[in-house]
Order: sequence, then C-alpha cells, then structure tokens
Amino acid sequence: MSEIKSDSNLEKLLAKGEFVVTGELGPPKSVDMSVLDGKIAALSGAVDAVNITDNQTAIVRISSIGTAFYVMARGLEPVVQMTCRDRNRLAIQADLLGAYLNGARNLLCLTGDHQSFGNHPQAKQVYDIDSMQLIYMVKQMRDEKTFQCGEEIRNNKKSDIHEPRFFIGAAANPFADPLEWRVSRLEKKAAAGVDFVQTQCVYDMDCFRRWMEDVVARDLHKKVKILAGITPIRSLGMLRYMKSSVAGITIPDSLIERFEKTEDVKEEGRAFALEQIEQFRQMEGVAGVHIMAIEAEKTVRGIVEDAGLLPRPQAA
Amino acid sequence: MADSILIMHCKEGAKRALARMTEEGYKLPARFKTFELPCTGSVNEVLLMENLQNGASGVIVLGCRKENCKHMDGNLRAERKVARIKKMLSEAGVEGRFVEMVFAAPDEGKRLHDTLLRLAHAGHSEGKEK
Amino acid sequence: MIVAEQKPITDILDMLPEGKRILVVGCDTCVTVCLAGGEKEVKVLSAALRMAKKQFDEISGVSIERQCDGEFIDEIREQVAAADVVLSMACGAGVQMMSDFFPDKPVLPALNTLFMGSNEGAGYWMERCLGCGDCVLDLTAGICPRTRCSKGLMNGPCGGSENGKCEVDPENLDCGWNLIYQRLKSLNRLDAMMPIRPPQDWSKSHDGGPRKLIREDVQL
Repeated sequence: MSEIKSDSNLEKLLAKGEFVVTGELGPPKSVDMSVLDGKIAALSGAVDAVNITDNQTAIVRISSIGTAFYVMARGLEPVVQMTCRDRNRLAIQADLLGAYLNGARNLLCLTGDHQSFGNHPQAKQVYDIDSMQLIYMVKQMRDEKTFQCGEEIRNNKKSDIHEPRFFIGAAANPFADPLEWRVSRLEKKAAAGVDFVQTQCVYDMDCFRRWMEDVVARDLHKKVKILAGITPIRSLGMLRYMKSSVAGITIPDSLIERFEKTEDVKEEGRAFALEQIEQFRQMEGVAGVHIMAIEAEKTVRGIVEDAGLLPRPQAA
Repeated sequence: MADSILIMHCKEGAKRALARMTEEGYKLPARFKTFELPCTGSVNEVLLMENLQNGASGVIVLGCRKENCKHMDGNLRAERKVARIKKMLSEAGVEGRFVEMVFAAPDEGKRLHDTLLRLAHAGHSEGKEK
Repeated sequence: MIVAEQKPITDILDMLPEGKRILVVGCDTCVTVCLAGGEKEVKVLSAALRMAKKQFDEISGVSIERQCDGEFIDEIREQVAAADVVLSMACGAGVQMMSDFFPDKPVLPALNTLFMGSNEGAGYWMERCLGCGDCVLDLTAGICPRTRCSKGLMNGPCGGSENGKCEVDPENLDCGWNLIYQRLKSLNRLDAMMPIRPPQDWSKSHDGGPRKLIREDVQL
C-alpha cells in the first residue's frame, strides 16, 4: 500500500499505519432526517469513516449515495455501499461517477441481500454483475480509466480522461461456508483489486484468529487492509437470535454462557467489545475495527474512548 | 345410472371388508355398484371423473386400513388423489356429486355399512338442497 | 423438459366464456411427463368442466403429439373449426403456436409454464436451465450458477451460505455455490474456483424480442 489511490481520509490513515475505526449507519425510510442527524452527531469525531448502507435487507431507504452527500455536508466521511441486487452495470457506473463528483471516495462493493428478505419481495432482482465483478470494474475505472465495456472515461476523443478514483472495499466473512474456502475468497477479492475489507461481526475470537493466521500466511494483509467487525451485545435475546437465525455469524457456547451468567448484559457487552478491540490491536494483519452498532450509535463514542482510541487522528 | 354410487375398491382388505359386511347381513341398496382394483393406489382418475360426469352421484374409493396396505402406501396415495379431485370439484362449483376416500378393515361389517350409507345420503342430500 | 402446472380451475373457469363450445387440447410431450396437460389430464379437466357450475355448450377433448410443431396442429383443424374456444393444455410455446394457427379463435392457456427442468423423483421436478444462451457448465462442474444460486452469482458463494444451505430458504434450498465447490473438490478441480469470472453477456439471453435459431443447412 504505497501510493494513495483515492485521496480518501480513510485510505490515508491506513497508509500511515493508523489503527482505524469505522462505523455504520442506516439511512431513514423517508426524507425526515431528524433521526439521522442524531446518529451523525453521535458518530462525528468517534470514527474515521462511516458506512452508509444501501437498501439493507432489501428494505427501501434513501440510497447510500444520496445519504452520503448529506453526511459529507455535515463533516463525516462516508463509505458508500453499492449492492448488485438493484442496479445493472450501466446504473452502477453512472452512480459511481455521480458519487465521485460529489465527493465520495470510499466504496464498499457488496452482493446485496436477496429481495425476498425485504419489503418488495416481488421486485425483479438484477445481479447483472456480482460483487467480485463489481470490485474489478471499479478498479478498472480507477486504474485503467475505462468503463466496463472498455471505453475510456472521457467526454470525447479530444478531452482529458477524468476517471473516478475510489478506495475499494468489500465484505469478508470468515464464518460462512465453506469455511475452508473463506481465505481463498479473500485472495480472489484481492486479485480483483480490493483495497480494504470489513469482516462480518466477530464473536468467535478463536475462529477469527485462525482465519487471520491463514490470511497472514498468504501475505494477504499486505495487499488488503482488514478491519475486524464488532457489534456490541446489548441483550441476551439479540445474542440468541443471532446464533439461531442469522447466517454467517458464529457464536461460541461459552460466550452465551458468559452472558447468561452476567447481571448487566449491556455492561458485559461493552466489556467484551473492549476486550475484542484490544485483542484485534494485538493481532497481526488487523488494520482497524468496523463497529456496527445499528440503532445504538450513541454507544460507539464511549467504546472508542475507553479503548484508548480517541481522539481520532487527522490524515496528513 | 343417475343416483348410483360407485365403490372403487382394492382386491385385498377392502374386498374382504365388503364380503364380511354382506356375510354379516348388512346389504347395500341396489344403487351401489362396485369396481375392483389391484390397489386403490392405482385408481384411475379418468375413470373416476367420467363416472361422475356420466351421472353417478358419488364415487367412494375404498382401501385398506391406513397401515394395512399390501402395497405399502397405495391407499395413502389414493387418499391424496381423492383430495386433489375433491378440491377441483369444489372449486369448479360442482353440485350433487361427491368423491370420498374410505379406509376399511376386514372385520368392521356394520361400521363399514353405516359409513357407506351415510356418505351416500350426505352426498345425495347436499345435491338436493342446492 | 419444460415443466408446467395447471392453473387453478377457478382461474380457468374465469377465462372461459359461458355457453360456448370448448375444445380442450392436450400435448403428449413435456406436459404429459410432468402430469399437467397430457391425454389423461385433458379427460379429467374436461369432465370437471362438464360438471362445473358455469355452463358451457359443449366440451370436447383431444391430445396431439406436440403443440409447438405445426404438423401436429394440422391434424386437429376440423375439431378446432367445430369449437368456439380452444383451451390449450400445452406450455406457453404450444399455446402461442396454436393461437397463430387459429387467429380467429380465442386460444386460452390452462397451464402456467414454469421452467426447464428435470425429474428428480416421483412427483418432483426442479428447475435446471434458464436458457441464458451462454452455457458455463464446464466451469462449474455441471451445476448451473444461474439457476442453482439464488442470486445467479458467477463468483460465489456469498456470505449467506451456511451448512450448505442458502439463507433465502435454509430448510429447503441448497447453496448452489456450495454444491459447485463440493463437486469441484471431489473432481480435484478447486483451481476452477479462483479465476474471476467476467460479467455475463446478457445479450445472448432473452433481452429484447424472441430469440431465434436458424439452421441454413436444413432450410428448404
């Protein structure tokens, strides 16, 4: 990771070797921005960049790009999320030009939850391209300065090339099946051109540790900045629900036992998150954390502060 | 042919049940006709429907007791075929005709007799009421 | 084969005009095999229509070898002429061809055509092929990533694969990419998982108007 590709604050901090903190927020379901204003206030200064989800779980909300502009205007650096479910390659490339024009620099390339999960299950899914092809395409736009079809990104033959230059991210899930193949999938994303990944939220530290060891053994951490995902536990019900009903999240029985025995689940959840952050800081190859505290954004600052990670550094 | 009831029965338990019923002195009225099958699982839906179409008030598919089918689950398959036809007839608004599945054991002469007559009467009256 | 299923009889009855002569036409090929529109189904449906509450003038039934081939449709010209309405129990291709042959008669579909698939067991058919026009089964160990993966990914699996199942329906739906992965593994071909497969050329798929196939060497 030598030269800066996108000019994003997040990229510069990672290039400097800072242990970064990213957050997440979901846009509102209408143009009433009051709740979002509260979340922005809660996260400002506590994180280096914040993911803006895109029709998460296939439920319609303000688009990630639309919300990103709002968030940028209020001083927070966004990570725009782009899913493959709702747009074909034309719309994606057009949206990327628009996003870049208006200041977005970080892009997370995702497949996107299946439409059957959301509020419009009868919609036609797109998936013209998948997340791997999307990463490749965004890199092609930035480094080869061409559209997916091969045409140069310029107004006409006489004008200069003006390509969008994104810091390219993707999701990584060390816990999904087939387990033995998950590092190879990261390797494939690295080959496609990904610059950073955020993992699914981690609860099984041993399993994650083994994944990281394999990642480091393949030198992938040098090509890709890896941010470990954390979702602080706020209730026993939430933990049990994730164990039984959410694909791709692994929760060891010992953790359930720990939370069953405790008197104050929220406090224990906070303590566990702090333990995790400390362990991630010690783990080779982990370049930062991605804190997903959806609907609990106000708790993030406290956790980041108690982890000794405030104030957030400024990029050069 | 009108008002006749056709009993499509297997040649195993159902046949023995009908014979036992007659031996015990429970006779069926003349409008009941019978048709023997190797197993109710092989009941031909075309035959069943065409009998109804040609005027039969009802068709009763009579198989062995649920766990006693000689061909393991022929009677259960017959039950599913009958259910499908019943649904079709009901949705088509067909009146005055019925199809039913009955499972009979060889030693229940009176009960079988009562069941068959009850079905015939209910199917018949349903038609008349409408 | 093409797999189809009968529309609910309530829908069929809604389509059919009262008091008319209806000719029910079956097809002896695909829809016979999937028990939806063959000779037997023609007879059963015809009987149900004759007994239905909605009354028609006359219900006749016949079945031909295939409704997607004119030479067989020719055989029933007289029967069609004697009817007011044709109720076709063929797949969508057959219904349309019949409609082309008899443009002056309403030709109505008794079936919903579902997919190109295979017979997996008694009473059980499953979708296999989308007709995308660009077969990649050589790359994926004979398992189609378009039909078997809920998202049609070419570089799967996604993060929603767990215990070999797809999160869209974890009880009943296999993760297509897990199937591909396991079979590649058993063939010692896991190397096929690594190349980044490029975006599909969707212009070879259905993307505007009916696709056509012309073989000049056999045209008259």
